[in-house]
Amino acid sequence: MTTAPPILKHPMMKYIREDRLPWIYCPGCSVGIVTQMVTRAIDSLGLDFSKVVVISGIGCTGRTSGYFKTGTFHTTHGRAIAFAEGVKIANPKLEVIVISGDGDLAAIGGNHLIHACRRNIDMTIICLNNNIYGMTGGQFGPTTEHGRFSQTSPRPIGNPEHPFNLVQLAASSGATFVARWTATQARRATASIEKGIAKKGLSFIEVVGACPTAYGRMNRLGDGLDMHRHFLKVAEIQNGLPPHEAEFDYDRRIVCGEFVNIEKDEYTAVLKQMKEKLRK
Amino acid sequence: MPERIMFTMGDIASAEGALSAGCKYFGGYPITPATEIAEWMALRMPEVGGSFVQYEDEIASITSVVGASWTGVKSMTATSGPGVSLMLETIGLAVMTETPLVLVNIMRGGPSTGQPTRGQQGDIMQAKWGSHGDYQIIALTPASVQEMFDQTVQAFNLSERYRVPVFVLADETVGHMRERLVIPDEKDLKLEYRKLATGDPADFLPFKPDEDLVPPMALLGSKYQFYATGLTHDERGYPTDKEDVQLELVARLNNKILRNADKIIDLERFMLDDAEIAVVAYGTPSRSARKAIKEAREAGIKAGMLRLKTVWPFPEDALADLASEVKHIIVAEQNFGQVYHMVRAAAAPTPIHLMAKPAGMPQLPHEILDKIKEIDSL
Amino acid sequence: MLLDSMENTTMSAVRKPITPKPPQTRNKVLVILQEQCKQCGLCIEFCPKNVLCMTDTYNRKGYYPVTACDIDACVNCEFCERICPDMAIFLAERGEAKKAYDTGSIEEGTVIPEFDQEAAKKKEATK
Repeated sequence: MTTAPPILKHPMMKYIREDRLPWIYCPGCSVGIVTQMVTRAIDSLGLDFSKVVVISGIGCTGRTSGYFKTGTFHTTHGRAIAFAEGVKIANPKLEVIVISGDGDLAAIGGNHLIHACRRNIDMTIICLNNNIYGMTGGQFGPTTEHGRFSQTSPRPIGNPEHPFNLVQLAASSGATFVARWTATQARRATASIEKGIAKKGLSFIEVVGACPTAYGRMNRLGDGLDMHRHFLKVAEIQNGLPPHEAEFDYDRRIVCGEFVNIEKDEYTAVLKQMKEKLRK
Repeated sequence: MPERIMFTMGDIASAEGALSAGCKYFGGYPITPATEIAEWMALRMPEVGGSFVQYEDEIASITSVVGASWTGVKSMTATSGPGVSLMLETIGLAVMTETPLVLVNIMRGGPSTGQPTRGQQGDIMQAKWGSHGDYQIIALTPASVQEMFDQTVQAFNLSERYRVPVFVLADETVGHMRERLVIPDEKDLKLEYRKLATGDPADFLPFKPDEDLVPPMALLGSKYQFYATGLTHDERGYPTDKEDVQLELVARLNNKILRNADKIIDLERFMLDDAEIAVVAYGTPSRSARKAIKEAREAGIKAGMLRLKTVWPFPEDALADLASEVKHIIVAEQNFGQVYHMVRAAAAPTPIHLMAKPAGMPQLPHEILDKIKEIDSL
Repeated sequence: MLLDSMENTTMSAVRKPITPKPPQTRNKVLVILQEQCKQCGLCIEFCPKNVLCMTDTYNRKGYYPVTACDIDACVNCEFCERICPDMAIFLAERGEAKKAYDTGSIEEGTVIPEFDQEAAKKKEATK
């Protein structure tokens, strides 16, 4: 009797915890697209998956770590990067990937973000920026545009604050690879993630995504499909542009591309040198 | 390394204890009076092939310690009261994910910024109850420079054995005093390391406990894929909102320590055999108490001391036994009364007298002696 | 015939190759996991050849999953596979997919439009 062939599966399924399908994301949410992008990047690079560690924070994007079939960790709100620094410094042979949201990384985790960039620790930070705190119901965050409506800036009040430009923030803090793509530009974003993982140094990739359930609904931006279609319309590719010119204006122009790709001393390499000098 | 003798301060003794225990990662932030530990580690860690990192704040420090521990490295941080306040959320994460780590708290005047250069013992309750939810940790209270070394080694052993954060609570006086320290030969130290996962990765359940209620640990970067989260999780590590899983998990995290309390608790009985008045103390006040008791005995008063070397899990049974042995118990601590409440609960209805001094100077020997005499005359 | 095809072309600025390109064959077939689809519509929208459309029978979760309305137009660009936020649509090697399809080694709710179409055509032919 011939054995039955293996069940037909998605080519990236070998990186995913199948017993946790289907994912919790809303229909039209970009987080699932980013999860797949990361599996593709790891696949193209041919990495030893058991040496890849995926760390995330709290939020919808923070749930991604639970879906990867390797050693993964879901930390407290905003602390994914600090945790990842500990992992990388204690075991520099591991490939450390942080996947988290704009609220988690830039608000409560903002301090850790800028210092990790400053230290230039070898890790890849993928920030899914949907301009909102999705998991808690749709409150505005550090990347929500001025005047937008949210649960904590309801109609007719609107957001009194102005947003960060994450690309500019990461670049000016010292990250050595900075890119931004929208979730619809799946192939290009995957290529940047691949480059970021391969590069020794802190790589920061912002993927602009949609939160149709909270942000889209409260600001009348349409459903997931409308928002992703819109991304393609307003995305403008400008590779190599200085980070402070990488404008993010949801309605008119989202500048995408790879903005920074420089060489700088990487932190764990410096620590290693120091150890070798002092080791008795 | 052969045995070494140093004349040094408690902070440095603790750092050397960590190094002797095999600690290879220190993530910290300067704070009086624990800064000396970080500074000593900055110099010594690279020498032993470990990593010292000064982070931007205490939260990054403790979170990175949790991360480093998950790669299999013995990790620690050192701070004071205000730093522990910042670290509490992550202590909760460490407890929930059962991460071994050591946190040295050189306690200073509080609350808030308080008196940075003055010792106090105001962080006892914080260690156990500071983070939200029901959980247990282990806390040791050294009273001398040698004990700073010995109990830091012990802290690492206990944290590895039970996969729990262990606090070393020393007041600033013990942290900054200088005494003779004997660092034993490495061969003479008994060191423990966490139980590691074995067997087929496909069958591995990261949070399935053994008989002792401690699950074997899988490390990041090993062949075992696991998902660890601070959310309530089942044996697979997957988050769940089921009630029965929550009840079981909280019970196990607490019982892991409480059921093994007899193997954790360390006490010193000083002149207690025929005592009628017992002083319960820990840290610097216990040093005053020791002198006071010797003088009381000379004056014919049957006094003794139960010195707590472990405050969490609290030695309730030992205190209940003590209550039946003596007529009065004096609790002397450098705070407004923290261990006192635990003693009262355990030792009732024996009368408990509190000598509370939430200030930099501990109870002096003659103060304790006067109190003993006062109670003796009752 | 070679001459026929050249006669039919008008004189244009773009040079057409002299040797005609071999007809393209699809190496991969489209596979849709209909029980996993959440009806977000992204694959339908972004398919460059308008292959996909929504069914009118809902799956277990209450979503109307995607199917192929024009499978013959598929050029294996794999964009649907990349844009799906739930990994519910992908392309599989033809040989592997056929073996799995024929032996039933597919998850519940898996639909392979090309094979379904072939099977439907065969049924028609045998009637």
